[in-house]
Amino acid sequence: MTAVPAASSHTVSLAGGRSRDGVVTTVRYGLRAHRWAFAGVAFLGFVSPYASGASYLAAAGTAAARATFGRQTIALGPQLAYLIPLPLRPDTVPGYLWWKGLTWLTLVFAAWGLAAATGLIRNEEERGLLETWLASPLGRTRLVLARVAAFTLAAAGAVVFAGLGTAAGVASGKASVGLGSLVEQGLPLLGITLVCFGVGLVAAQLATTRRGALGLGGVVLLALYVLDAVARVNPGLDGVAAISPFHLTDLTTAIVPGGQFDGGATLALYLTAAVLIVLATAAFRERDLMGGLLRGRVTGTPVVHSPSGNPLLRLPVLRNLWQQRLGLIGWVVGTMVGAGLIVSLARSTGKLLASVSGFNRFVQSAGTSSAATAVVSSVWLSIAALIVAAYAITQTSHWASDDAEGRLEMEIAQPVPRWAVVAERCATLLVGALVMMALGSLVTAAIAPGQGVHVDTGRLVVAAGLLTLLALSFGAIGALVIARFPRVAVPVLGVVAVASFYLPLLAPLFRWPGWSLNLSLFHLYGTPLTTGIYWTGLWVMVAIVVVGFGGAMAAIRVREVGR
Amino acid sequence: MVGYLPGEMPQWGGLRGRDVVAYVGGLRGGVDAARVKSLAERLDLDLGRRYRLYSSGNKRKLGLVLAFMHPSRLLVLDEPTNGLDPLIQQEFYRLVEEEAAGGGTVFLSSHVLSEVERACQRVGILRQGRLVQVARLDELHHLRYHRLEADFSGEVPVEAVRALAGVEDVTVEDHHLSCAVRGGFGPLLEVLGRGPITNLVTHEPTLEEVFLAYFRDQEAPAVTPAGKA
Repeated sequence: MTAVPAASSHTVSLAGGRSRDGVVTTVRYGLRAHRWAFAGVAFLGFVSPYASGASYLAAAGTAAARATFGRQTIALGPQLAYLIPLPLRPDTVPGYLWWKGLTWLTLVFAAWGLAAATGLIRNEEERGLLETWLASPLGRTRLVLARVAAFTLAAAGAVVFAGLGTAAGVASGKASVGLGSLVEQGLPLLGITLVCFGVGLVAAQLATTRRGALGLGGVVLLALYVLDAVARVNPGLDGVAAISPFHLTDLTTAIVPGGQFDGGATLALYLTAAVLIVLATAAFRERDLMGGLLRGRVTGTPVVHSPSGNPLLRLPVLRNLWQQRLGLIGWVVGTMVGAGLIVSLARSTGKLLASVSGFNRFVQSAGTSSAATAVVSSVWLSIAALIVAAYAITQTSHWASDDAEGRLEMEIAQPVPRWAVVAERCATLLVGALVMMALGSLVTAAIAPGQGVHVDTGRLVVAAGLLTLLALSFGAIGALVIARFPRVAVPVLGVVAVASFYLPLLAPLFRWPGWSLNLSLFHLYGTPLTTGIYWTGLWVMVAIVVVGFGGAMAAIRVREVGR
Repeated sequence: MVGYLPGEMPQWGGLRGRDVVAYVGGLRGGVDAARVKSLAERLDLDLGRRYRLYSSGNKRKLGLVLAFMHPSRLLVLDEPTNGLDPLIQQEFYRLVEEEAAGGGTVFLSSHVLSEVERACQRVGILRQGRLVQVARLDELHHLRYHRLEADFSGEVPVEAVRALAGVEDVTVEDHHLSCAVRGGFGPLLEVLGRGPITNLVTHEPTLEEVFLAYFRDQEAPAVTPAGKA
């Protein structure tokens, strides 16, 4: 009799120990899974507020200039209220930094939260890893909680970097901010990141694929973001906007002089995140693996034994575009909506910018006397450049997964010559980017005259063509890296994109030599709508495309293909 | 032309089976729909379902459709029957026989030796990444050893048996002798005939036993030219 309790106690202890070990291992695995995204977000978290703070002095160096800059920015604020919150104390470095640096950083953290949640659960499920985790003594609840713990640690680390960047940005603007204010400002940033993670986690239980979960979660967050944006210009909607985590985050302005830490709103963020995680965990326990809670009605469908008659699947390039059709439609629609929105606001925004001395430099740098045209050139086409860069990175990610998931092996076994694989990828990227930019330009050309904005059609066509070349430049770098090191291609391209974005901002601040600007792909693109083709940039981009894709064709011939 | 079935199937995500067939077929400029239909029917595969919803067996069947759907002079099949139920395995063997009968070469990689015995004419054995043996299946049977069991009513001539060349792994329990014989039986039968033998049984080892014998042998021969094996 005495042996029984001893054995029982030993068994319980062993099981508990194993379970704890499993949780720790899963947390460590989760941290490892987040490492690249963490590095990217932490980098942006540091650089974005730092660059904003550092550029403040250039825009408003003296006390008088700051006061004027502040008044004019307050006047400009409502024009941008659909995108970011109204400015608060922009006559101070912390105020400007909060408005320009931290508010869009919130979107970066939110997107990370969503992508991390949908990726971790659904991606592992699609790759069959989840079954392995669940076959361990861990169990679904502990697995989800371990995932949440890992992401919380990673997100908290990235928020710390954002805090450091904020402190450095404020200091570079010759101002200061207290540690307490930084912590208070960081808490809602972490909170909204966890809310978005929770939304992604719930979406991953409802949809059956990672893309579906990402789409569902993205739509929900976009709706909440739009609700917050609409409430900014319609104060009567404040009560409804309280359900938006973006609104709750905006309420804390702790680093702004005279700002506040909204403890209630921040607590609401964390409670929302907790509720979402509990809901997701409960849903995860209820559903089948590879299934979702949202299931269409199962109907008997006739058995099919014939191949698809879709001719697009048989044609080079079109077969790839057909497979990506939903994503491509999303990119095209997003580009058209972005073009329509910004061009329709170009006249009023340009008028305001022209009247703000602190932003005159912006209009001048566009190389035109028309402020509205400057907005189209420097705002819309800069955003379009970011869009094509992001599109090229997603294509690169697709190429990398072709290799990792065995599709490349299958293609070259048919046999498709390896150089032809690279050539088809290049052509697919070219056509996709061309369609996006052509339709975006069409919208621009259609809306601009109605708004009284002069846009030279010939130059618009050139600008669209150069954007396509920019996409190919990113793709060429990606293809070259993939040809040898497919796993690191996307992170490398991400670094190239971020560096290209920040280089033109940081080079003047640190007085880097002029040639260093040509290291930025976005600088190579130039401002073709207003200043014409930047020929050096054009030739450098052509060289990148030739060397990148040419090198990729040569390199892929001699490397081992497979997992 | 080469038909290929990889050891691990590629991930085709949300594409339906029929789309995958059209896509891979398109890489060679098109596919014979009648051939695909015949293969899908024989392998009992519904091409209307999404790839990610296929079981591992159905994914394998789709891989076989992709490998067999084009006329090929060489088929490379890596672990082709993984996940297939026994009835579909039989259909697969028939497909292989048809390909071979049509003059095609099927290069089949498998860890299932009964499958190799069932489907192959020539066998290559890989060890630590090196080809250690290539032979026709019947040649390999000829090369391999036999096990021999003999019962005696009196004393077993064990020492005389152990002294014979080509006789290995000799064990004696009571009046029962067991040994492995490489090469001819003549000298061994002559020795056994001197004793009061009451029962004699020999049996061929399976290919698996031949295979294991190769792996037990630390001094395995280097590559044997196929023509000489």
